[in-house]
Amino acid sequence: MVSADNLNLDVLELVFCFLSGNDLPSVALVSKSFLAGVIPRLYSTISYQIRQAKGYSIKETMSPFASLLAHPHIGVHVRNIEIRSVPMLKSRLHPTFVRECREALQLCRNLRIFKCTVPGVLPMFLPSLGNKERLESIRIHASLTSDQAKMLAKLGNLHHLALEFATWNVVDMLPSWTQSMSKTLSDLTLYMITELHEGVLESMLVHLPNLLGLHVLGCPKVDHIVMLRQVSHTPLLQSLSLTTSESTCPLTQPPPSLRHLRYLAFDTRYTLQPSPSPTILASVLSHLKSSSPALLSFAIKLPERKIIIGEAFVTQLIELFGFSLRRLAFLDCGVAHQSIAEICKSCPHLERLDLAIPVNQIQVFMTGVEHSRSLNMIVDVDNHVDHGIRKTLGPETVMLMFVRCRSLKKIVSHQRIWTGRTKNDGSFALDLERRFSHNYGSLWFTPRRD
Amino acid sequence: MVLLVTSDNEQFNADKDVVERSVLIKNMLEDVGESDQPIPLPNVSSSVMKKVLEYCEHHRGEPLPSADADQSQDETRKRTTDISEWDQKFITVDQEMLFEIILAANYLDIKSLLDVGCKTVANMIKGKTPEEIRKLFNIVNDFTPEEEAQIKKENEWAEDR
Amino acid sequence: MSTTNAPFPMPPASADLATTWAFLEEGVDHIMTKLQTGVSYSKYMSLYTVAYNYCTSSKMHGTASESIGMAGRSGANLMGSDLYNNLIRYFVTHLKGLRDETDLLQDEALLRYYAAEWSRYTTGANYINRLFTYLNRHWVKRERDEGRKAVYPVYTLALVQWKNNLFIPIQNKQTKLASAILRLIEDQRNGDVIDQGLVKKVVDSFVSLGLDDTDTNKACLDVYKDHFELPFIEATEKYYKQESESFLASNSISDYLKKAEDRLREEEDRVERYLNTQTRKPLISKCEHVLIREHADLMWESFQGLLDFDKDEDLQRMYSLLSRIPEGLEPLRKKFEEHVKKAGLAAVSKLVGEAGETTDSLDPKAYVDALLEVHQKNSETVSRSFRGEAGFVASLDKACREFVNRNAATGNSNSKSPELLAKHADLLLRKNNKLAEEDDLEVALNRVMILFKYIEDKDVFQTFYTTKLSKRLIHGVSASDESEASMISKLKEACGFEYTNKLQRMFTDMSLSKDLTDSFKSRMEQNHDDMDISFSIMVLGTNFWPLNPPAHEFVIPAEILPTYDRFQKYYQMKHSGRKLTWLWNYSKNELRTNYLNQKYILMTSSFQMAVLLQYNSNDTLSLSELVTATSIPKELLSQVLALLVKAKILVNEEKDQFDLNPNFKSKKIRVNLNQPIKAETKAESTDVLKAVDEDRKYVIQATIVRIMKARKTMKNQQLIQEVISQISQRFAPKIPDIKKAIDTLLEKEYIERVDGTRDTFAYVA
Repeated sequence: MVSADNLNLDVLELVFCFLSGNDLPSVALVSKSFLAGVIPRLYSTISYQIRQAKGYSIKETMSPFASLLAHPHIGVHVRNIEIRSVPMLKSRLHPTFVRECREALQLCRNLRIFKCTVPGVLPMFLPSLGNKERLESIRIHASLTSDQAKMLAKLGNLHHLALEFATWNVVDMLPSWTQSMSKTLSDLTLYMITELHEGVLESMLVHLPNLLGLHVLGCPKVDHIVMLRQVSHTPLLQSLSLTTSESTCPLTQPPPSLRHLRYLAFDTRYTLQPSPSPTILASVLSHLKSSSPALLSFAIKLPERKIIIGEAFVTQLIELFGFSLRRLAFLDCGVAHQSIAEICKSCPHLERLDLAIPVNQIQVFMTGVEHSRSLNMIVDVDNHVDHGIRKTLGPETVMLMFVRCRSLKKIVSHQRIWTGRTKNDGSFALDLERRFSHNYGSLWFTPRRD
Repeated sequence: MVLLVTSDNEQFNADKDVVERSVLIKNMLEDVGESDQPIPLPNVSSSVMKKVLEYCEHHRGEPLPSADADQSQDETRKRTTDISEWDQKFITVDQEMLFEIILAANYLDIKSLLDVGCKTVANMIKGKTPEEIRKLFNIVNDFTPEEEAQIKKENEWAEDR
Repeated sequence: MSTTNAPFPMPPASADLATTWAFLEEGVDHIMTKLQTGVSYSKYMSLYTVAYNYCTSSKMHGTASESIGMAGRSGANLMGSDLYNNLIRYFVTHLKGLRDETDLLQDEALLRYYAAEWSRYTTGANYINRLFTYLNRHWVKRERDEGRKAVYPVYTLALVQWKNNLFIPIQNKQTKLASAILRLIEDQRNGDVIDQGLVKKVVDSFVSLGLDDTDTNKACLDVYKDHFELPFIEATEKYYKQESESFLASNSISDYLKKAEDRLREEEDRVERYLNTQTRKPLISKCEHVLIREHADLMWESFQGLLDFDKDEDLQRMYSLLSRIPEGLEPLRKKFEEHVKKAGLAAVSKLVGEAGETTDSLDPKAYVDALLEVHQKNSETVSRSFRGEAGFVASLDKACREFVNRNAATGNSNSKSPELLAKHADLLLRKNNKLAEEDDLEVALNRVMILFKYIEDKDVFQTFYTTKLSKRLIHGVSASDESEASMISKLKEACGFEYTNKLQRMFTDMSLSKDLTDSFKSRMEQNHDDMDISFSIMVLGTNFWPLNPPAHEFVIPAEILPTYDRFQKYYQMKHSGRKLTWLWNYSKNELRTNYLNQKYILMTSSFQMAVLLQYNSNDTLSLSELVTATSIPKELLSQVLALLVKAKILVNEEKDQFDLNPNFKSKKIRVNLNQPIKAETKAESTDVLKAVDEDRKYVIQATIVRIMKARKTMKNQQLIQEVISQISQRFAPKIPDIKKAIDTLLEKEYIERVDGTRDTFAYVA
């Protein structure tokens, strides 16, 4: 008789490909055959975060890197390593961990994606990154010395490159480094880099005419004016993220041609009172109008959580892109109920909305949402402004939301995923899942293409 | 029309474009050429064959995945465990039949059916403890306690994420 | 083949490797060696199933495997590698048999054997690949995913084995395969008929054997390049080096050109027929090197001879061959330029020699025709033999420019050619020229324009042309308004509006004058009935016409004074404030005689008229009396009188005493007395040149001012360069002239020197 236990390894691997998170270590403990089948999937992504680091420091958890060292043949399965936290020992980086990690990295010869966003640890792992033929994507905290920057620049053929907090040594070598990768590089993210200025950006972009994604945020010398001028070098861009400053300098004419733009994100910074930002945002949108891109996703982040996003801005956004938009995200800000209604009425293809769900005014909120025939996911983003007072989303409220908006299939809030489904007998059922943070650690503005 | 013979010697007549959902049969007809010989399928029983043909019938005419589908495409396909409504109903069968279908799809090389089966098994596993999984599938724990402890320790980093 | 559907006997699903492989090997061997006898569905399915069963029979629970904890995956991987390794073993043995066969084979026989085995082997391997799909889909994919590049899908594996166990060993024996192909190709080059299909098959197999390790679907030409292309290119070089040298030793260059052309075409065909298209570039460039580059010196040397004997076809061939190599044409262009220049100079020298005397008497038509003939002949060569290639056109232009402006006829004068050309144009555009047909005239004018393009001092031409045109117009001798207009529009096209502005204004004046005459006449008819004189007038704008009033007084004869006054009044009434200057020296008159039996009409100049009218009241007059009566200076008057005496209207029997000849007789009723006076014609050319010089001064000054106004400050050298480049369209300015103009402008304070510099000027606003 055929049973799960004697399904052959080929099939087991296929089954386990559809699993993620906590299910993987559970499967590993079921039986020898399950263990064998799950290992490639279990070890394909190693994400090391605060929780693991804490556990390590108090000697409870073995690091995945130690496991790899114990079973070197598993190294070939590792495709994706993400280091978001490093255990400490007496307020220094834990030396044993660092050694384990460095040595294990050498075993992972099929590594494709490497992320390391912990300040100050990249230099220790850099030597282990050489000779990774399949490495195509890195995201790193790039505070390096000149020698280390040189070592970094030896990595070639990357498709995606994201640098955070890069020092001048790294900025200096960026133009020649990116030029050497001009055949493969499709996505470039530069985040919080004080030294970056327009000259460097330009000398990079002139050699990257095929770039598909460009995200430059939190770099004080590169604001929306600079970005909208420089993207004339990259006419194929599909996704663009930029920071708007309070500079009211006129935008360079003519506007760049960005016909292929699909994902757009604004990081809006301001301090002035009253702020010119609404005018600036409006001018940026009209600047993009001439390319008439069929935008699929738009995200905006405001600096001040109390602020309600301008209704005029929403109106302009929807006039320009409402028909094509699939996804909208409003981060660190409120959205007026009128705006919600307008969005849900005028975006016939909207599938996903990320915003702070106003639990206290859920009825009014849903009066707007129920206009949509297409929305199938709402993601509640944290808005700490009403921290403590704010009620969490309970099952009754969620049920109410599903009932009032029939197209909704998923609501995500506070690490919970609520899924609604119609049962065979026609009644409606609610499923609740813990939220797994597999998207955790990706920057808010990078497009999700799922 | 193609004539198929199952392991229990039952014969099935089916349209060529239906059975050609199976890349195995499609390739063989290409290689050997068409004739009125029956095609023996020694690894598929008649009860499973019925289900498989039902599936192929329903999905006839849909594009077949190319032999060397892009790997990245492969990855996105694997992330979602959504199953269409018809497939969901179709695959609502007892465990043994479910595994038989998976094996048959793997043997006959019907990629979309194999996916539906694997997703279904994955969905059954989701959210369960090792013990619950063993119980669900009637699996004997073949680890020694020491082995089990060791594996748990080595993979603990992946828990609760 | 059995038609019953009895299940094909096959090992059970749990069979061990030995049993499994024994069954599979028999099937594999059948397919590899006896595929033509056919495969049944049952056989195909049983082979697939047995392979599948073995791959999926992972012995996870086996006690033998070291499946402890996390290390427990190796068991499953063993299954795949079992089959994979056995396949390798099979291929190795199979290929060893083939290799032994080849030991005794050579050349074409070897190729035939190799090609036949190749197609059998690859067909079989394709089949096997399908039967082992399951192995490819899971085990091979997994192995490659995990980074083992030396594991291939089964079909690729078969190719790798072929390469390692048959191809390389044969090649290792004095590159037996490649050499056999190269010998066949050499035979074909020598004119034998060879089996091209065979060569193609073998060559294609070389291509298929190239593998890209990271992506098995990608083609890679390394085997083809290393084992065939490189030696092939080498052999080609050797062959053609030898052939071209020995051919040239016993044949003419013309024959060689033909031969090289044929050979290049053959090689292009060869690529098309049986080589990989990537070979085209290295092959052709090697052939070009050996066949052309290596003999380019000889071709360049032979070029002059071909030109001298007008060997059009050879020239054409040489051009197209040399155009294939870099810098191949440059020496030809230089030689061609020299050739054209020499031809042009020779033609003019011949003409001057024939004329024998001074160049002054050179016939403009003969001169122009001689220049044009050289141009036309060589222009035809350019378009026929050199395909109108821009480089040769430039050489032609350069040479023509040279001999048109400087030749035996011009000496050191830059104005001779423009003058002769303008004179020629004048002759063409006059009434009564020999070219009767309008079309011919148009053709002739176009030919003028060909030379005009080469004239350096276009302003000289312009001045001569203007003078000639004004004469044609005021004397009414222009052939037709259409032809004049056509010529002006050609000049306008070549030099722009400004160049022909004056010319066009002259025509306007002519037609306005006609209207003016008419309206004056009808006014006179209304007011006066004593108009015994018929009168027509031309009023010409001073600035547009190169005409000067007489430098002396002139007593208007009483007979025409009333008409003169009336017109003067009439005109002032129409255009008050305009000043009329009477150009008596260009006017003409007709006088009717009534002192003779026969009435004659005398056609005269105004001065002649003034003299003759004195005889209305006198029969004889002395020179000084005539001077007093007409105010014409004595010197000029003598010449006027001389003509009248020569025509026998007047008789000069004693010194300075002139009588009217009462016995004047003429065969014609209309007697034309209005012949040009010699002094006038002589003066003309020098006047024109003086006018040109004066004009140039202003042009240079105006250009400097224009440049300085735009640039504000400029260095001396820069300014001179800029002036030259702006003016050279019209004429070639001389540097001293430019310097003089700068000095003048400094003086007039249009520009100034920038303080503290020697050579920088600034514009003074």
